[in-house]
Amino acid sequence: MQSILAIALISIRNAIRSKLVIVLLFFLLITLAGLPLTLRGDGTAAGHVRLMLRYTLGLSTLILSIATVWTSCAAISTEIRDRQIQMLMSKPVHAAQLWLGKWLGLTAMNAVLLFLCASVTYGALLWTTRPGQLTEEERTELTEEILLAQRPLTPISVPMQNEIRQAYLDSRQRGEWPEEVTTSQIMPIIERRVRARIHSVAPGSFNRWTFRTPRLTAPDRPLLLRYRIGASTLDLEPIQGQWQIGPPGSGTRESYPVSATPRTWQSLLIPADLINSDNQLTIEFANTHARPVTLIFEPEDDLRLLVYQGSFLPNYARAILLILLHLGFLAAIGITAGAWFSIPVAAMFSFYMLLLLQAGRFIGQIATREVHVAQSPDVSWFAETIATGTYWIYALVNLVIQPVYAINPLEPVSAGEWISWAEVGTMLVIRIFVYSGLLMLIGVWHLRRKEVALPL
Amino acid sequence: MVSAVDTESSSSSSDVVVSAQHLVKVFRDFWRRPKVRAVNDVSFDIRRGEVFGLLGPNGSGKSTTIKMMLGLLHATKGQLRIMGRSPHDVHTKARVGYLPEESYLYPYLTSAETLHFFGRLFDLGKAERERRIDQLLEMIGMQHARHRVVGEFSKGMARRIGLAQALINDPDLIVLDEPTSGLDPLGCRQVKNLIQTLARRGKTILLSSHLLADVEDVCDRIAILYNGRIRAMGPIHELLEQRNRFRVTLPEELPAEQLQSILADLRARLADEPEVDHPRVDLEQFFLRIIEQARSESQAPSGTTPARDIAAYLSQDAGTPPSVLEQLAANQPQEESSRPPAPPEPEPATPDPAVPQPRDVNERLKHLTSPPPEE
Repeated sequence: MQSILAIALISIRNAIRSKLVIVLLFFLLITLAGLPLTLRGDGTAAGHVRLMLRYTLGLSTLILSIATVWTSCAAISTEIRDRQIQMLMSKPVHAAQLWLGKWLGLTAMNAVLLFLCASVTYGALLWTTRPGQLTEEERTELTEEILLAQRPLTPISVPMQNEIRQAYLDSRQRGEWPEEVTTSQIMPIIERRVRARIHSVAPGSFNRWTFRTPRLTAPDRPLLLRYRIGASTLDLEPIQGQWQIGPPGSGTRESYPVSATPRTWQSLLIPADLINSDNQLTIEFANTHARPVTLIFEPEDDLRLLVYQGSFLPNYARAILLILLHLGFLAAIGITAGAWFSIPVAAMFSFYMLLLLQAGRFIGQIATREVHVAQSPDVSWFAETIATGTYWIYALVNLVIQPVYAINPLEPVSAGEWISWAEVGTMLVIRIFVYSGLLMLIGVWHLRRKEVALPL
Repeated sequence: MVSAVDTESSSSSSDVVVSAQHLVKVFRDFWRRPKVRAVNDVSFDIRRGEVFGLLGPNGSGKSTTIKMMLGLLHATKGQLRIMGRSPHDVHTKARVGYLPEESYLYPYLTSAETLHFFGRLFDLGKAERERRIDQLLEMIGMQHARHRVVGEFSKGMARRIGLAQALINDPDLIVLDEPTSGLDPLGCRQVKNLIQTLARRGKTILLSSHLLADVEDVCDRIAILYNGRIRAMGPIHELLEQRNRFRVTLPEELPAEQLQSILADLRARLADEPEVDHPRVDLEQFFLRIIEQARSESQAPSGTTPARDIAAYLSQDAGTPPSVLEQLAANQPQEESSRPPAPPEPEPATPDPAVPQPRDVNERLKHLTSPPPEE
């Protein structure tokens, strides 16, 4: 253990002597000092807080990510280049101890820097939202919508199989598709249509969604409905409508008139006592817009019921922990890459990995869609092979990166959405124990085989 | 080739600390094609307590052999055992001290931090590290530079710290690659004395050098490498001794007529004319005497301070007193008696009669490296 700690300390001292890291830390300082003072959001207090969390901490995370990739790539490769590794490896130091020492040192350094960034950002947040700086109304809005942790719920999904099947048969009957187009090619399109129809609100009609709520930790606190209205018009004039919330047919329902610009996020506070005895909350939206416009709610994206789960600070701390796990994973990639390659190659490889991780959602979308190559004499076998091969490459990359892909934790935390300990634990297991562990095994295996004293 | 490859058949295998059998090392290029055969069928054993020298010109395979012994390179063929284990075994490495050809130290660490770092790699406790570091810095004459960063050091000073880190774990096998490189003659002498002292304490030492005088002074056995192959190996005195020739040393102040008479007698008995010349003093001895004289007249040079006794923690045989220079002085007559008698020294450097002159090299060195008298 002593040798691991000794190597960890030396890796920190090595890292802070890197000129690139010094430059990045200087940028970090500027970010922390300058951004909170210069950010001007959408003019609302909530917008300002969201921006401060996303941009100040987001930029700090980006800078720390770059610094981590560089220092981790340099951790072993510079020791090989400068031959100090000969002194280390001639001592009773196992390759695993060397790898772990480097990783621990860099992760400890990241933990300290991240803690500083998070503290400064939180301090700036408290300072800019202090009493006297904001109106009472703005402060209430912040404490009820942003500066807390709420669990996001999506509506209970409605079974659509019968409707999809019927819509498919109807479209075939109408001769909408050429004969050679297969069922598997048509079905996703039909599904999207049916989904849109089910969750749309025609002019003068209404639609209903039901949420299943968990046991409330604070029954006296209101729930928050966050929604976004899509409209079959490009006009930006506010949409008129009305929410009816509460058990249908009961006398306890509440009505809330709506006037909202299309595709903008809106919030509505709902009393918790509108939840029925089965822990379900029913909401209806009536389209009362003066002009005939169909309104669309994508239930997984545009409708969210937020239930109070805890205070802001622990949630913020969990978000920071998730960022630290991300940096730890990057350090693992860099150290292993640095054990294999020289710094430039290792850094290029690691930055490419970072890019793939950032593009996880996009790759996931490509890889989970079926690829169809038209059966046409115009398409050569070569093009077909390339298309299929590319798809399988995406599928393989997706298979590897999807478990470690996670959305930026600053997004939920800046929207007042809850990050559970289960999420943190899952990421700890996947990113650190499984993936970083695997990277360590690869790095150690290579270091044990590597001849560290080869003539350069 | 000199066929002095001894097999040490009489020594038990437990006495063999390093065993290399038919060692081959081929360096390959990017495409894994053989590029250079740096070591070619090298076999040797090194026994406990022995000072073994690897001698050869640059590129002869000395450092490659050493790096294979330390697990830093993998042998292409052959077998290599260090204390009966693989050179890659961490338990083996715990008993080995290594001074590489260049001191690859962290330039931003101070002397003490450097030694603490390497001490921690051997899992030494803080108190033990402190004790050893104090003794080592004292031993190498670097106590005054304890808190100076290594990056500021001259090559010689960095070399001393490199030597200290090689001894921090009280190793059984000490591998020294060009240990005197970058050192001044005083430092060289100190290192050579240290090697001899460590050998007396039961340490096994492998010394690689292309400085012939270093090897001759301290090694019990040597192997001469050239182009990756051992060209000669054996005890140094056996390799160097010309058994069919003789040198006669006549007493000092021999009257000229008596010398003429002896020479005439020799001429009458021998077919050839005998060679007669004046013996020369060893340059190192001459240099030490000049410095000794200068020291008695001035202050000590900057950089390193005089080296002191060997670090007491470096394990010793039972009954050996801790102060090694004292022990050295006491042992010196027996040591000296096994070597050819030193030739009489010529005139040029006359020591100051006011300064008492020590009797042998080690005593003189101790005297030399002691602080100069107050003005």
